[in-house]
Amino acid sequence: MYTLKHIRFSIITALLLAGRIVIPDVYGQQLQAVQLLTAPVFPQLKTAGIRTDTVVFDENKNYTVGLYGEKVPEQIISVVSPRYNIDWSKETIKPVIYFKSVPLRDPKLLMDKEGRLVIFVADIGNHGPKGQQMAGVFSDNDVVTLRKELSAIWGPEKKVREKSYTGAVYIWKKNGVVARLTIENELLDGNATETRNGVKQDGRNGKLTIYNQVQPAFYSKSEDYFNDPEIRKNTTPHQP
Amino acid sequence: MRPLTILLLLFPLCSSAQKTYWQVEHTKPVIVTSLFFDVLMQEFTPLDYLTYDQTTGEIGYYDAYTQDLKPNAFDSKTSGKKELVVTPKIVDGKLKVLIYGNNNNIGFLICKPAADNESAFLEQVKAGKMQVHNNLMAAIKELPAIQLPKNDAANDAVAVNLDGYSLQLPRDKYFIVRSAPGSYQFLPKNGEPESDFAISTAGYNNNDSLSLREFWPVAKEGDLWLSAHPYYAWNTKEKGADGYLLTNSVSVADRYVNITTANKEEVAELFPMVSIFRSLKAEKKGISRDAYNFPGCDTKGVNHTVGALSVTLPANYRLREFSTGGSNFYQFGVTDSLAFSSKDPNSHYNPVEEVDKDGNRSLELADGGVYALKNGRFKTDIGKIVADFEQEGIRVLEQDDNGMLYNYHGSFYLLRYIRKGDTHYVYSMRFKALKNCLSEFCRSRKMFL
Repeated sequence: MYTLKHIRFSIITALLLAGRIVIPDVYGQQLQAVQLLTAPVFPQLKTAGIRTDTVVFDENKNYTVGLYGEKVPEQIISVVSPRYNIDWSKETIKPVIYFKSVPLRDPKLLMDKEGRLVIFVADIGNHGPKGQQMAGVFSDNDVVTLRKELSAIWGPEKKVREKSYTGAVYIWKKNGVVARLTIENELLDGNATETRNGVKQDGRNGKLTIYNQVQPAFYSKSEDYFNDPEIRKNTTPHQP
Repeated sequence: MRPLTILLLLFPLCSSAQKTYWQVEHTKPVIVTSLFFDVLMQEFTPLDYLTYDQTTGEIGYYDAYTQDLKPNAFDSKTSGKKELVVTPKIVDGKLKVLIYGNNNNIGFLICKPAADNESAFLEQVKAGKMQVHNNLMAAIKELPAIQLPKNDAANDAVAVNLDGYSLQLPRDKYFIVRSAPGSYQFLPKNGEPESDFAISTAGYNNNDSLSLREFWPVAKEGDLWLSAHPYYAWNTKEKGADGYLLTNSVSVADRYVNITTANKEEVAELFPMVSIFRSLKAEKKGISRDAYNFPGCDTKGVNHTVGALSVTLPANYRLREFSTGGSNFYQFGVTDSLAFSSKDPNSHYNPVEEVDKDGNRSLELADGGVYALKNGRFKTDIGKIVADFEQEGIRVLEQDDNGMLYNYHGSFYLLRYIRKGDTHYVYSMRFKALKNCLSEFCRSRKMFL
């Protein structure tokens, strides 16, 4: 016996879920991060069938996208997070955004109102104990491979920090693009400071940030290795 | 509006419900970065069951650890966290539920078919819950035997008479607070401001409702029960008890007087209270609550004069003049009208400080003062002040005809009020220890001469 309340509830649920039902089993192909820099982003994501979550960007929360202490350009209005593909048989995920051969973890696209990608942020590699693979795909070698891939297209890297609180910092500048790669546990020497549940998180991992035709900058001048050649010359260890 | 209503009415008729029945097999965390998600993934057990309606997409979740046979919405498991998107799908003859949270917390719940129809399914759910119950009962059985200790003479020195029943209490150990009509809390005079145990009256014997709180008796002596809260970890098969409490209940007239301790981790913490609990009797005998709370109350003091008021203070209390000016200021608001401030020319403050035998101050000693406010335009009394404090969420522990005692931010305070002519006087002191606050509260009852 259905009461009116039940009927309403089931129909509303059904209507809500109708959207879910039309989505294909395995959505999405892979996209190259470099392609997102030059061509409009949304058509590419749509063509590739990648699901995304979009949130309004709040400039006070630049740290939520990993841009600690950085000035985020005013034109950024939203953050688009592409979701991984789901392999329902193997019960795992498949990354959707790559840099050449390197899978990118939790990519975030900071967009302006024209739908142009202004800043691209993504995690790379293994953020757990050394030698393991996160989700069966993200490994210790990813971030080193990525450093070579970045140098292959944007020229030799500049090391601007030997030891920041997110590890060694490398930057590339070419044709209005500034790329930065921070690498944690670069030497895989087991000297990780981070532990989780008492287990050392000494996997090699990093963060890739690409500034697309905007000038990156820090709030603090003493940190601003993007614009101060003196800071780049003296790659002093990070002093908290 | 109308076509939608018709659709709403017709839809259930044209869709046959496709409910499927599942049992949790295992979980597969893919990416875990939050502690909440880690715990969530570990909480699913093979004793949990799910229904999945392929038409509506609804999941019903039968948690083995709840007692009723009703399903919960899956949301209750994810604590309604919006960032966790739940997607069920039947793949290769299994129900896979994807829990996806912002790319950083992803996992699968994998379930195997449980039954073809509702009644067979519910039988299995029941069996699962029974299994949990049996495991918990086994945990209780395997606990080491507990003997309730014999009465200790020091622990039942004084008989105290409360509403129609009596209790033997150690002398000068507890402060009995009346928390509601027929309800009392017993705060240790030396120690934390949390109560050791409490008494309340109700229409039922509290022991009968312990199982609802998942406490089971491990030692009994009539209605005096020592109960344990068992646990059973399904993955490690580890079992034991993680909490104990002591209860007793006597019937007084048509009601039950229930006495219960807080939940303690170690059973030995309860032993000192056994003889107190054992002594609960439905008979009127012994001294009053006030006589027990304030034994040997000494009302003596040294005379002081504050404005038109004569007061007595303990000999080791020092009354000073407050020098305003410079950066010195005071502010003390009792109620909206009864507010003292160095900005107000009608307000006056005399600090009062307890000093040790060498005349020195320390943070452990009491401090406060006598405040005066000249204002004939409002009337108040201690009852109004108490009501105002309670409205502000401050718990008043004791009240008499001109004063009150309350607990605020880890300290105990006493406050006395009197009006002389157009001037309102407040005596307020702060104490670190409840015992000291109580003795000054009692002494100061007749402080206004």
